Amino acid sequence: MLRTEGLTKKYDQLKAVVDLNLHVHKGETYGFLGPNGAGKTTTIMMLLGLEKPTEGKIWLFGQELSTDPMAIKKRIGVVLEHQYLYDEMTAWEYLNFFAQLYEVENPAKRISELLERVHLYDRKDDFVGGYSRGMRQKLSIVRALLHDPELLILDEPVSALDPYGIKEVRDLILEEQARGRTFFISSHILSEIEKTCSRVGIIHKGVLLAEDDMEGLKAKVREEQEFTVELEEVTNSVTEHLNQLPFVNSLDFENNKLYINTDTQEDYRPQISRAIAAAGGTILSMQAKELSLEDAFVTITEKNLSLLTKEANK
Amino acid sequence: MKAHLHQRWHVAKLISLRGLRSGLRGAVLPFALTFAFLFAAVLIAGNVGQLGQEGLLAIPRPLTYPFFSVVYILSFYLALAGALAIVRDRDRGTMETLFYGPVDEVSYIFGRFFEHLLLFIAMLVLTIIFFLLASLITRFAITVQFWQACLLSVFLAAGVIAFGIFISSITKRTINAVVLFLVLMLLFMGIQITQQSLANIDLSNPSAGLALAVKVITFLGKVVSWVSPFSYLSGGLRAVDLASTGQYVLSLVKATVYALVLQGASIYFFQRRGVRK
Repeated sequence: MLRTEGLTKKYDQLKAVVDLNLHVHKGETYGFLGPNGAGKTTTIMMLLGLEKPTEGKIWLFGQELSTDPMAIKKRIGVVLEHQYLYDEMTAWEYLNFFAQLYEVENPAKRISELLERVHLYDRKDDFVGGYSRGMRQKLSIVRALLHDPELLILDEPVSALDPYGIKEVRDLILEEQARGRTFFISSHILSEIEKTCSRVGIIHKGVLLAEDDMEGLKAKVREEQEFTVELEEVTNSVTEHLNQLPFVNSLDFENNKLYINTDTQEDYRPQISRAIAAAGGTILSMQAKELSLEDAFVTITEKNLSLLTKEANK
Repeated sequence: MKAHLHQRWHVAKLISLRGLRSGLRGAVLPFALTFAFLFAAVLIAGNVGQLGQEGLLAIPRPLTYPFFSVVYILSFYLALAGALAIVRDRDRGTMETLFYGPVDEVSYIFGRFFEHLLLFIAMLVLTIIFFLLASLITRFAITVQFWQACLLSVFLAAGVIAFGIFISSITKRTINAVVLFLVLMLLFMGIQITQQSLANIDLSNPSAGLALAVKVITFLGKVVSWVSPFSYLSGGLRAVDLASTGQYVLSLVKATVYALVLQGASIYFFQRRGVRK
């Protein structure tokens, strides 16, 4: 669906994007993560043909972007962070203009349907200039969906929305996902990426540091697994038994809770249970700490920073 | 190729109609029209007064010069509007949103060009109504030349608009476009006025300095006659005034070529400049 090969963008001495190889499959939702200035927007601009790559190639729908950009872009829907709208038009006029631009069949029906989905139908005759930031964001999402695009490129799609609006947009994304739409979402709101994306790429200083599905990405950064075990009572016998296990790296406790750090080679919960039982302990609950995407993101970017610093000091 | 042309034409048409609607809703257009009509009304009233005072029986083409003045004022307004067209769209970011979709530089430039040309045609219709009313009130006849001037003014306005759009395509900010447009207008006018002034000086025995100045100004005058859209406008309207069919047709052709060349140049510079702010 979307593929880049050796995509590079340089502005004089600054390398905004370096040798980027992306591969977004049909029907998947790809999260593109990175701190500010990482090269996300530059990448999106190159994907849309608004910035010329210094090197590299882009394929969309199996076709090189430069071969027929007008026809290719007709199959994409785009919502970027800042909403640039024609303030002097009503929402209906605005959407109707874009519906005609994309040659949407039966535009009135499609516009009504989408405006109702984002609860803007009652405001369709208001001038866009009078819309709030959140309403503008939703209007842009409607614009991007008008022509039923095969690929949606979204940059911070929920950044301007209140929690209710975020849920509306998330539900819209999930609905469209269910219809087989492909998404390329760039966002800082990692919790949203985690809820909507099936695969994630992390870009930092123009370099793609990691790319995997959620579990794979978390596994990459997980050096230790932490378990929290609630016991009826923490006794010396229990801690001694556990400390003798070869996979236990460290052990701590507070009141009746034990915090056990192990390596990540396998799931050690059965061995831990057996050891506690052998020491005469009674387990009330046991939980493995889940690593969030945020943890993974911070770890990957920080690791990279320390690597870069080390290289610079050499 | 055919599909590309169809797509471009479709996009250009939509961009121009959207812009036309915005232009007609805007506050500046009624102001420009009112100013132009007031100016023409003053000239027409002057002609009526002249008839009464001097006991003349007839004035040659009493509506022609007032009409020319309206064309000049509206063309100036459109040239300025054209100069702001692209640069403002880029400044507002709305251009970027357009280019997310099936829009390219060619369709965009032609769309903005036709938008302003349609705006001129809309204003021309109102101008014709104004002059028909003036003719009814003053009993000054509407001549064939008036209609010839109307037709020619569309082509001349096309040149003027293309010039404005060219300015817009080479500038980065709105203020730069306005300043560049005004500076060029003043420069063109200055050169033409100097050239006319030199024509009135006795140059039978000029000093070396004056001879050089005359040469330089004559050369610059020639350049301006090629580059300035208003020299095409003057030339065309002069052809109407002189009732010269050959000059009239030549003016049509020259204005069309001028507009096309500038459109090509605008597309070239626009592609180089890019869409983003």
